[in-house]
Amino acid sequence: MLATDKFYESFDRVGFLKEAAWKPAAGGPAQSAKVRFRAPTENVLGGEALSTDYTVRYPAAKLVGLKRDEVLTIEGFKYAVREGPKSSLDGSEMEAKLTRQGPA
Amino acid sequence: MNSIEERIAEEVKTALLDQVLGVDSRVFRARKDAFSPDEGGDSINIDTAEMTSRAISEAVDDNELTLDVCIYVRGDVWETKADAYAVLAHPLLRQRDYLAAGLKIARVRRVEQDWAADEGDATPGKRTVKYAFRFLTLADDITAQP
Repeated sequence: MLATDKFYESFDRVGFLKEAAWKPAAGGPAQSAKVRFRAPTENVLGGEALSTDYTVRYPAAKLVGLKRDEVLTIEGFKYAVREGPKSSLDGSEMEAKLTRQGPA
Repeated sequence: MNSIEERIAEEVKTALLDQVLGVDSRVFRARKDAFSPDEGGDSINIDTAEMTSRAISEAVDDNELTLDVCIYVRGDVWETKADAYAVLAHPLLRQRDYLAAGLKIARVRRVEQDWAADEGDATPGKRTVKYAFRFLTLADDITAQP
């Protein structure tokens, strides 16, 4: 079975990943990771409004310490972590929900 | 000529249109299409909720029309943002000169509210403020008032 980091490397080779840059608010070195970035539009408020559900998935070994209100920069836009990150698969992958803040 | 209830709903839209800063021209009536984040800002939709009528004489009915003023916002804290719009809209509806539009309204009251939101980008939320309009109509003609 392909380990999560190898899986992400394979995804990256075919261009499915995007670069996410993070500078921890509490200080420390800037980090970056290749992430699976998704932005599907979904119905909310019982179908009365539309909302884009921004999320990133990434190997758990990357972006360690990322938490709510931290800001990622992806393709020239800033996104704040609004929930999570939470682990998935066998714990080797993380998923964070984001809210879009505007241009970086 | 439209019914009195239809004219009241339209007058409420007119009262709010371009008068609530942040909502501006995004005031709608009976809109059923979903509100999208790319529409340029927050929105208000006016929905007719219900109307009750009772006869006070053979020729005259006493009516109460309830309109839902639905405030759609995105932002954190969404409740605070929606509250600012509710505060701006309230005097526009209560102090409106309905008579200038040919409508004899005996009373406008805020009668109920609810708040609803979903998790998501910028927390989409909806505050519904119900306003009741009391007015008389002729029993034989719902477009006319005594």
